[in-house]
Amino acid sequence: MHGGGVEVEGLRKVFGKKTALEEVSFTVEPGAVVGLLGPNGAGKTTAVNCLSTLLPLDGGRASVAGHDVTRDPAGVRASLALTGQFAAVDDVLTGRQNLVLFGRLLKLDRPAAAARAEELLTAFGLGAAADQPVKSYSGGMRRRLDLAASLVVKRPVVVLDEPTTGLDPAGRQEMWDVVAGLREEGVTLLLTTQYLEEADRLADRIVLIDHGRVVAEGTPGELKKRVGGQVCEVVAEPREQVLRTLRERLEGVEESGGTVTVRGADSDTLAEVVAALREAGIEADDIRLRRPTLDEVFFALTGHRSGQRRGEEREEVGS
Amino acid sequence: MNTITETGLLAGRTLRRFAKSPQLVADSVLFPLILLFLMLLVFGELVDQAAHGRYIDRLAPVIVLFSAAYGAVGTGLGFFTDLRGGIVDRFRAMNISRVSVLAGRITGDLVRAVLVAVVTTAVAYLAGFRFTQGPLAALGFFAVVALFAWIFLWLAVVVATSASSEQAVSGALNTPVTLLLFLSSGFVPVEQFPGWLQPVVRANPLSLAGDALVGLSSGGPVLLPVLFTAAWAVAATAILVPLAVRRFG
Repeated sequence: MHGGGVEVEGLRKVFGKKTALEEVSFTVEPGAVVGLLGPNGAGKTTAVNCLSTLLPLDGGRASVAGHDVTRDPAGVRASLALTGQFAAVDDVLTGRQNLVLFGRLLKLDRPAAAARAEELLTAFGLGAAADQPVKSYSGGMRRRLDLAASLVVKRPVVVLDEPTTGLDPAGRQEMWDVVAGLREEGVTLLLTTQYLEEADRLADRIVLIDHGRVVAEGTPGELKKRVGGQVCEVVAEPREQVLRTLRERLEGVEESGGTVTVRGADSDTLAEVVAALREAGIEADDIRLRRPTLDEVFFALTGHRSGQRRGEEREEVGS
Repeated sequence: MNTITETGLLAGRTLRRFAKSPQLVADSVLFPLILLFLMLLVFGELVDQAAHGRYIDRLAPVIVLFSAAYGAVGTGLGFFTDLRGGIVDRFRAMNISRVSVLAGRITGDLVRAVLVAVVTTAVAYLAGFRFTQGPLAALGFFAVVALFAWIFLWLAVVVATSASSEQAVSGALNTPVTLLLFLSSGFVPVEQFPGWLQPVVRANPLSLAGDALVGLSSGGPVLLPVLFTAAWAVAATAILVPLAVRRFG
């Protein structure tokens, strides 16, 4: 399955007066998993649509498995499996009928399409619901069927556009397991996400994109180092005293949204906070370490807020 | 060859979707039939006396045509959902030709329109409608229905590619379809319309195709109304097909 990478160089896409993508460049090595991370409206889906030949480029070049998207769109389509943001399956048909239809459209004969459908339904945990109409599926099941549909015929490059947006934690976990399986098969994967945790967990490399531009690129470890590790959240009163106490001993202490946070935290920071509060005689309601939210990553890397509402990001905090 | 296979598969999908949506089946079959019996009940005797001939002979063909045009609303909504839901993008990213996607939709819904017409005609038989011109004319009857449906299916596809919401799709299709029905010679003979409206009623494709169907079922002029219907179909093809292809491509 190796042998298909993705190369994007100086990609530019304009919609009317709005520049959706400006000088976007990144590479996905064959067999690698790259996460395109950015807030809503950053240009992730536009980039994916350009790569999958659904949108013409306005500048730059892009190739998939060696096929240029402009000069050889058919070659690109034959090498790339796209799973879009909206589960693009027929909700009236059953899961099995969907997969057989896509298989037949991809030129498998009837028995081969049926066999492949069975295989995928089992592999993606949809065996029990195979003959139910898709309408009755949960969000997570639909996404998995959608992914299965794009894998009916194996392609060297798989593109997943926000595979877990809108899924509940269980659905998200199931999707992650499926993606991890693909990764083990050696498929080249490009996935877009708004969730730092997701990019962190699934991707070898992260390309951070904002307002149509690449603002940072690196392994999750490298990016995290630049962000400065985790965030320690302290809920305690009186806040003024907490701030003063912590600032005496630690760097990166801020107050935001009613809580005191310490950026660049690790378990030592946690111990330090606990000790400091105890010395000052303050009893904390809650002290916890969490990953930086996308907003905080953006703030650290770009110096401005991503514009994402905080409520949405809360979802990504976990594990 | 590929395009034909793809079209066949996609047409099959369109038909299967229809068969699996009981609400849609009921709506597209029952509404025209309710209209048939309602009109027959309310205007039956009145028109029987005013026109020379039985009302059902004129009414049934028009209801059959109406069912075809009315079904196009479902085509518009279905295609709109496909476009918005992302399945069309999937087809395109799968290297399926755009022509196949359009052709599959039109072919499937054309078959559906004829099937609904067969059912509607069968029920009209119970109400006294009869084919008296032989089996070949009966076949021609359904061929004209398909020709008529063709016009509205392409209109539906164009509407679906340019509409911004489902409501806009059904609004843009329901209104002209209903207007055409009431301004046709099927409900009320042309002579009963006010003079200034008569040319509109005469040129209405539903009146023309209706005349053709009357000729092919209970007897009367066939050639001219069929030619006029064909002219409408050719004009619609010349305008709507390039528009659909351009907006879709």
